[in-house]
Amino acid sequence: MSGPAPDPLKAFGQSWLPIDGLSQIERVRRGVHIHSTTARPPVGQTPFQVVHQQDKLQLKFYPAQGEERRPPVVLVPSMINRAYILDLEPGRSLVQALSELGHPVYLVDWGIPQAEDAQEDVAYVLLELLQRSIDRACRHAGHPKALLMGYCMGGTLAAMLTALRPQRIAGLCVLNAPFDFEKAGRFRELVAHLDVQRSISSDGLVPVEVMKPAFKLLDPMGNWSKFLAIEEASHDPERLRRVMIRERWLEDNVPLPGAFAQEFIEQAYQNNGLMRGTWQIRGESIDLSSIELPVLVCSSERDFIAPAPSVEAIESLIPHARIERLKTGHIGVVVGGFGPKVFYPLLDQWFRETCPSPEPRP
Amino acid sequence: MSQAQQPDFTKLSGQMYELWEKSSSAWWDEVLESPAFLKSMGENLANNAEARSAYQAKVNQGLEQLHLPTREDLLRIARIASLLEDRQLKLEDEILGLRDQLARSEKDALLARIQTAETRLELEARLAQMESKIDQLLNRSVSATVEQD
Repeated sequence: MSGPAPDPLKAFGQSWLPIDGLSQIERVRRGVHIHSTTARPPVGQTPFQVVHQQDKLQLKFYPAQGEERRPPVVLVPSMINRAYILDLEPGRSLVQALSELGHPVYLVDWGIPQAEDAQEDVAYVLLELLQRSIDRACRHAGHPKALLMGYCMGGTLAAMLTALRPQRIAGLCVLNAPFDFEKAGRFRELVAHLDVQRSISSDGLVPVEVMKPAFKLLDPMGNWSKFLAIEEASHDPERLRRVMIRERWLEDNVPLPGAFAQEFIEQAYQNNGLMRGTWQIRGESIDLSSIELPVLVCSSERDFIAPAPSVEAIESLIPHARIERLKTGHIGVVVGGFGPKVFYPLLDQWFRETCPSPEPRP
Repeated sequence: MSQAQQPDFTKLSGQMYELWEKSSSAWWDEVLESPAFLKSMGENLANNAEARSAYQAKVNQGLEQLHLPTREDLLRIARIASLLEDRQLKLEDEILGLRDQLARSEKDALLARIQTAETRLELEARLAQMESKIDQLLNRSVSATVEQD
């Protein structure tokens, strides 16, 4: 990663440093300079093979290390960010950790939708894209069933599919995935009274330019303090690299198909359709309480995107679900030091408890 | 006469900065919970979307007059390609399903062949036994006839 460009205002800025208040402003200015001139580090470096493609979706396969024949683990990230959050960099990669622990990993990379994908609704995403990906992962791995793990909105989608089509699924783990959208914090407040039909065209994409300000409004002052953190990190190249790689992901939003966004905001955020059981997909009700498979629900204490109460509410529908509240934040759980220390081993143990012995070929 | 204490501007500016940060944070919280702000934000989003589609319609109109393909024309082609891909994948699903069925019936057929072969061997053994018994009986009847003669 190439470092920040020379700062033309450095000498001038240094004259501000002795004055407490101005030094903070100078640090933010330096943070902005570093942020805008530092190259973003490479991401998604774990070697993979694409085993299935549909529209912009790619199913990426990361082979398991070791001789053990474990069932496949299908990872479903959110559709509004890039999938490489689960493979950020060596040492901070969920896919790398799971494959090293002996699990064949299949990552659903939703890709970047284009205008021709605008009409893809929730039914299409679940029953055409996700269900087929799970089927292909099972066939590729030679196992009848897969362990499904969804992160953020991907967890919500994974649970919805498990309720509708559990045939190929051996167990479900959801991480920071909201279910009770009445408790979904500030984002819910932002979209609760939105006239979805007027604001989002089902025939177009929800552009990144519209989504970015909405995310920034979730933590307005965070956009200021972020630059202070960048300036602080700039004194240690390794720390700066870690901050910038995270920045890269945060900046890399993906447009959403209009039809999907319309339905998801209306049914999830405005009608709370999953908790009320009113959401229907191609005439079928999504009844999360019908899930009989083993379920692991992980929420994070410091999560303002999917606050813990909105995640843990699933317990009222699936009483047998195991709930784990993690002492971390929404992103830190997969990319921070918390992942390798706590979350990855927890996941590995739960996968082994859920599917203790390799199953025969179908 | 006591001298008035001079304020420390360096520290004061730091306190002012902290105060600004806290009050900005509180202000944002208030604004983001205000129905008026949320309503106007929604309106803004809707107007933006409408303006965007109105602009697109005008561009399309212009392109149509020039007999050039519009964005919609290109999208239609891309969607046809996407539909074709969907059909291909559905066919792939069917083929894979048939392959599963075939694998299951091949397994059944193999079991049946093994069973048939085993039954055949069993029958052949029984036949051989019967043949040897018949041979023994024939031999006995021949020797009895010779003795009578």
